[in-house]
Amino acid sequence: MKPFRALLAIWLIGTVAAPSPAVARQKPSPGPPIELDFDMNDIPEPKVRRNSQYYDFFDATFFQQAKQAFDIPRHVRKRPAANANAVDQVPDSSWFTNRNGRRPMSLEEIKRGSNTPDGPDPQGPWIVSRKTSGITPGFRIRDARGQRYGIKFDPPDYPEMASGAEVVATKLYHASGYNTPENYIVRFRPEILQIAPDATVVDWRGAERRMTAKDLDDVLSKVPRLPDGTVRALASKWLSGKPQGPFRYYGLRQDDPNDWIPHEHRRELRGLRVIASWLNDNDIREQNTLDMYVTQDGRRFLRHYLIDFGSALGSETLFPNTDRVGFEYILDAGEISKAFLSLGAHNRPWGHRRTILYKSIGYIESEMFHPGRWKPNYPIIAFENMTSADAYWAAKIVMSFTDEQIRAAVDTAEYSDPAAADYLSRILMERRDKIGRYWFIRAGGVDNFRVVADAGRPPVLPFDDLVARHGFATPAERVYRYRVLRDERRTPWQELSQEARLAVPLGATEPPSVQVVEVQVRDRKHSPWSPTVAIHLGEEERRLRILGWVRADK
Amino acid sequence: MESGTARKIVRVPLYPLIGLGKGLEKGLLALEEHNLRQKLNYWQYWLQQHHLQPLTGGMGTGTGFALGIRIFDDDFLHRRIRFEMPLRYSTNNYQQFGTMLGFSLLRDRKLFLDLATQYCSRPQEDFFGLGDGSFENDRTNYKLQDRNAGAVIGTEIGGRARFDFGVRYTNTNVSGGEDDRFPSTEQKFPILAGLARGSSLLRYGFSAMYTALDNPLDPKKGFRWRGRFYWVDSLNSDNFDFYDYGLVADGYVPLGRRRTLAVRLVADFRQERDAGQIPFYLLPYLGGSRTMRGFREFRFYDANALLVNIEYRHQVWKFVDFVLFTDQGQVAREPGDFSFERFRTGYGAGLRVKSLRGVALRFDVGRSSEGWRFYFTFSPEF
Repeated sequence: MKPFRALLAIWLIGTVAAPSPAVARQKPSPGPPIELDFDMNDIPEPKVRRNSQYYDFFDATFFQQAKQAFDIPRHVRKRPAANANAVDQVPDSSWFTNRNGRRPMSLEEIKRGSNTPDGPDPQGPWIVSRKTSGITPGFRIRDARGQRYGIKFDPPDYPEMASGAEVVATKLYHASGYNTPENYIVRFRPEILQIAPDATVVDWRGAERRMTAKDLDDVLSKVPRLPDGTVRALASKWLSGKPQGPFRYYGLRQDDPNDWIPHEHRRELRGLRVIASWLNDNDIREQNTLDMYVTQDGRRFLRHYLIDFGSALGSETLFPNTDRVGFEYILDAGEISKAFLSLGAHNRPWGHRRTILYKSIGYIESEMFHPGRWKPNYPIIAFENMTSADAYWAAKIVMSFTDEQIRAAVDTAEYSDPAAADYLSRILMERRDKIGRYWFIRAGGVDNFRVVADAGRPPVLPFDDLVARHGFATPAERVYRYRVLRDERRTPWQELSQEARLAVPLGATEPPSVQVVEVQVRDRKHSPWSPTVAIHLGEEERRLRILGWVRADK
Repeated sequence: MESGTARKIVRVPLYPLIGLGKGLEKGLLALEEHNLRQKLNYWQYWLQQHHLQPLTGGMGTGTGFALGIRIFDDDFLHRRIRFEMPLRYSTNNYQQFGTMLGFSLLRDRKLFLDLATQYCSRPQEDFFGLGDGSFENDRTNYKLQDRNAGAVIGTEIGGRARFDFGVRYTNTNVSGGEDDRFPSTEQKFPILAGLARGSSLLRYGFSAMYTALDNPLDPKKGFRWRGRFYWVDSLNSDNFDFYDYGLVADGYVPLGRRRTLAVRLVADFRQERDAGQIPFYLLPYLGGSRTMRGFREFRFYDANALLVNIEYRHQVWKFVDFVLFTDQGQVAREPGDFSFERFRTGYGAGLRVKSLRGVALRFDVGRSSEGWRFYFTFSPEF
């Protein structure tokens, strides 16, 4: 064998033999499903992680793509999420807290989100400590109560756009289960601003110097005054704890002993793609995350936050979204290749339709939105590892939002034009329904399995069909089939009869002999059978009960 | 296989990439943490405030990598005089220095007077012989040194049309080429007009231009034409008296939002007067990135040249256009010698890397009966 071929063979063998990263997924087992993944043990303070937004782009666009290309097993079958519990849900952790997906939140809870009862005291004074030089000009303040906030303004030509998007997205991310900062719409008189003696600014030459009144005026001069003399802004409360830099959407944080599930295999980060697509949060990236070293019940650990949603919904922070947003990466090798190889015959259909109806909303639409094809600004590795089961989990969260809840979240943006709020609410509802329809059908949509054993009758395994329940298909259009694994032998597939719909008969045999029931569903007219859901059964006090279920990938 | 070993094996092909990534990350972190981007912007601003602009390229294919600086002032001496002094130097020892004073005699250059001087030294100019029957293997090179001074008076109308009359004195020296890989031109072509003593010429005449483009820096729609007619007289005993006239027209047809068909027609003529001659280095030429791709630079020289460039441009990314092109051209001793059968063909593909100021870099791969040619230039020809 020639040396090159020998090396290639060794590499291929190594590739196939390489083990999966640590998998924590709870296998169906006796006992209740894990509801809390306790990753909040006391740890020493990690080092602040420095990051470069330019490198993040290169890393995600080039290096990580190359790395994934060499991950041969991934091309055959994506790994299942590592932290789903026995009933295919994500336990609470320092990353995620089940909220609206587990129990409907009240409209008040949705509106409040992560906010403590009040924002910065509008009476002032607000002591300005630093002018920020990010995409959106603003400054840091400390209010009369000593609370620290970042203040950001809307672009002059698009009042209410970025601040509105930030607040609405914050509420919906929070209700979905993610950790978010406290973001407030505030109106204040510029006269309450006072420059701290040690306030600094990085000027346009890149040099840090003392902040002056002119620096403040430069920012405020571009902000329109409301009729009552106040200005509108977004106030983002400083997160409690010590900032330790952003988290990555892949790998582990080596100096955090609590972090032992590779981020790309965390379901809440994989499924975030579906929720970000709903909110059109194209700027979701490492730079817009933050690990905070917090103290809780005497323990110190890292809590992981999503931050900065000024580019969500119809906003691109300074401008409305371009027509590319959500459809193409900034540097999209696939789209470029298609255009290149087709000599331009491949045209982007979304490139012709941008219409901005409300300046306060920017550009977001639902007609061309495709839940399966939505893309952020550049690839996110966790998103690329998403399976149909992860997407289904996230789609259930999106579908858990009622029209009233969406409207309540939109109302927190305090849009001055009610028609704009109506429009945004309608778009979010339409995008929600598209997400539900697409991912539910793709994963099958059968869920909520339980065992019912009435006296004198053989036990049955009822379930819900979320596709039919949400009206994405009529019950008559749905066909279900099942098979039973008993004593290591599978029965043939059997269609459920019309009478027994949504309940698998488990037969009159002794319960312990039934070990696994596999269920599939399809649309009567055309679609193929859905991925299998394998429901694991066991005995407890001589009664049959569900140990858990595993949803296969599409 | 032990898990750690297996993982290491999988990552072996990625080691160079990982190393590159680590270095890049450190560099980009430094860029951001030290506000280097803002500092760079400031340096650019500082240079502009001090009437300086860095220059890259712009001296043509085969000249090497050129760097330079442009000293400028749009309000020279506070008299609304435009002043420019571009200075360029390339790795192949090409030099170009010039000065220009622009006087706006009526507002918005409705009547203007431009005075200009220039020195250029081009030590490795290629020459393959005259006519379209010249051979690629006859490649020679010569050194051209050119000093000129001139004035142009004219009018600009609405930023679209321009008409002017110009006069220019040119003194040119020709000597042996500095590219040792090829013979010097005088060794292979000893009898060429202008080769022995160079020339001293006075050139005067009219030119006109009309532009109707949507974006002159990166046109997608519209057209533009430029025409000229000049008399050229020898100022010494050489009989270099001839006419220099021609027309260049380019048009752009949008084929949808991201696609454009671009066409350029060039007709370049010299015609002897009073039994005069034309110095060979002032003859029209074809070949190279600016004229006919697929052929070497300066491949065909003769008194008359026709050229048609057709480009299909497709924007594959915000900053990149993909281009398919064909170039058809021929040179002839007399205009009557042109014929459809004698057109030479080059074709190929290329990429245009664009900035907000238009095309910044251009890569072309051309193919012709003389093989493959690769071109890398800093500025577009059309």
